[in-house]
Amino acid sequence: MQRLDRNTLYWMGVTLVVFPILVLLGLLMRAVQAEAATGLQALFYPAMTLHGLGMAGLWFVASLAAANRVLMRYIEPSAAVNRVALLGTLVGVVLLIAATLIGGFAPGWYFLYPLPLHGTWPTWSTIAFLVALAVLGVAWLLWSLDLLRAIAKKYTLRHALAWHYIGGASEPVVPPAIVISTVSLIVCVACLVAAVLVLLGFLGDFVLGAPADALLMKNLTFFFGHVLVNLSLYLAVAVVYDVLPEYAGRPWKTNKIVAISWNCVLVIVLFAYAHHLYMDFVQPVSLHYIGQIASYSSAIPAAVVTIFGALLLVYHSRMRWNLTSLFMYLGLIGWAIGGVGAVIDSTIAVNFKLHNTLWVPAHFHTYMLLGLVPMVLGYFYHACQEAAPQQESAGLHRLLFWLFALGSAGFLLMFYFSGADSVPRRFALYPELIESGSSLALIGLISASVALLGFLIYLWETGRRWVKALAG
Amino acid sequence: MGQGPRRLTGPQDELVPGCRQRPRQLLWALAAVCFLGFAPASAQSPGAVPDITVRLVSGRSATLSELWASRPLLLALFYTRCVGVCSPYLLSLAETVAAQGGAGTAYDLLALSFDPADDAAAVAAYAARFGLDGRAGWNFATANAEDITALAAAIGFWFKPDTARGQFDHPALTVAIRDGRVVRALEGIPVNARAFRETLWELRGNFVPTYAMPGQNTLLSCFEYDAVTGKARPNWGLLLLVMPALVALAACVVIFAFAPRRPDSAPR
Repeated sequence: MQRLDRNTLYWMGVTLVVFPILVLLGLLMRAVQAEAATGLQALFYPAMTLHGLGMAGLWFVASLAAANRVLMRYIEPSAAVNRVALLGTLVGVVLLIAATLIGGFAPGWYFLYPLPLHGTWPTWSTIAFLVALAVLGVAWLLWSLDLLRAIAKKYTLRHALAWHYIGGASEPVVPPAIVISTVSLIVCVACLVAAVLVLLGFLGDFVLGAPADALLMKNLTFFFGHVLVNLSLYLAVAVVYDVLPEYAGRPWKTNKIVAISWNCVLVIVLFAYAHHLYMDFVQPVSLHYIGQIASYSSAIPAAVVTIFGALLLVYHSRMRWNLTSLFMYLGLIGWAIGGVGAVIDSTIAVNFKLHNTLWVPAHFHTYMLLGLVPMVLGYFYHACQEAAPQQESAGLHRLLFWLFALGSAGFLLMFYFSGADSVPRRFALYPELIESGSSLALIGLISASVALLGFLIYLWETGRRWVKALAG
Repeated sequence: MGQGPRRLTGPQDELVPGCRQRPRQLLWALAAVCFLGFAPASAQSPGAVPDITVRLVSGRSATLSELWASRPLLLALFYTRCVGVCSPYLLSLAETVAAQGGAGTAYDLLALSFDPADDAAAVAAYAARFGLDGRAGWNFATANAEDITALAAAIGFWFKPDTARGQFDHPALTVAIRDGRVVRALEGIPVNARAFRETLWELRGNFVPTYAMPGQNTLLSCFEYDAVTGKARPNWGLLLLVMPALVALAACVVIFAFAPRRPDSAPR
């Protein structure tokens, strides 16, 4: 039996409670679009703001918490800093809930400048949002820096980034989780610094009345947001590298290819965000090209190398399929499918047509709902089962897996079909011109409810082990 | 009275032209599009200028299409009895035109009275009073009331009679027209030299990458557009774009350089 530290247990608890609430907000949005939630239309944009911000933030901390626990096999991160990050996250979440659901703060989850300062919502909700952004940014930055410090205590930068593998050496052995986490945490510091600059831009306008440059703010906002979501996936992948071999009965080691690919990611991921600005005609075209090239390039080292490695790991192995291995494998598949969607979306000629359609939510929901979420949920179950072992029901696990996977796939397909049918994103209600949006939203709503049912069974399976681990 | 340029954009009501088909067909089409790219959509843009007839002070009648047929046209609206903005506006425009050059070679100007009470003689006298008659590329003219109303509606020019003073309330508006369509409108006096240069650049059919600021005195823009060369120059704001990566790199170096190392530490 492997003991689970309290901090990880708390992060799991927060994730498992907040996730279904945010899912319900997503269902509410689809219900409004399907014209099945009469009287709740006014909640659409606050719900969209909280759902988007909440999901991006929640799965970042869930992924980082999972990586934190995995890294504890090799390094000693500070439990106190972890606790501060947890408290900061809780404060930030409460402020965001108050700003959106009580204050009606609704500039969308991109919160693009200067919209948050010019809405119809009360000033206090804007202040609550800005304070939430500051608290979350500081808490997560501290956590990231502490993890880097803990890695630096055991490894040199050269070893942590596996440069010696690139040079042909294989000693000292560095686990892939260390390499991927180091890359992700360095990038994390960069993206949180960008968030600080965005916050300063808002404060300069809000407090001093000195407007910021809208294009600069948009660049920084997407640098922050895009990189945050990317590294959430990378941290979850670090966990998969560490845990999946236990189920395959084979090691998954760092080698030259893994080292080269993740070092490439460290650079490329900093530029890929530019594909969010294709619509900004004032941005020089050269930056658009950089965005497209970086988006294409970032998919190869991270996703292709990892997925190819995972296939080799499983091929002809005596794989033990349970909830963890199924979910982790599903996560890698979802990451691949969502990644293809992302590469298509980052193609300038395609983006020109699809940018403001539901194609975009389709691809990012794919790598979140079928990629990041199952990878982290798979790990949470693994950790809880390790800490508080109970008899596993293969039938129940298969049932919840298929409910979750098929429900999610149906939900996502409706986004893809909508995007292909020109249904615009960010519309609460669809005019007659795009009546297909409502019917596709209804099918999406039903499918997502099936996925939620699967998650509730997961919650039962993992939750009772979590309670036992917490009591122990 | 506003100051900046107003850009006319494409239609907002057409979602994705040519994409409203069945989902299955579109999925196949999407696969093809990944490799081939989309063909540019043919969208009907707004800003068409009605081809009204004007009476030039020379006594000749001409349609606007005759005037913009050979060169782009800058249209300025005024009236001779104006005791307000008209004369300072036309003088400011003339000064800017003289400074930038190109009148009569790269573009023509039409100063059109929107007051039905004005006739050719009054307009000619007005031009002469301010020394604007006989300048290269400049034309002064009048038009009938219905045509003026139609033109004003199309180009976004408003005027309201002030019966108490026998005047009109109206803005100072310069409208740049190329091939019968409004390219850009400049509002206010003095005529903004930079915006005017950008307008001339656009009248030549070039793309001008500038953007409206959310306020004046904006801090740290990423790019500065030079309307003379038509190129965007990097500005100080770009430094802020690279700052996150530089700070992360510095933090990483400091942490790994100064952290007390215990290579044998292996918890659990």
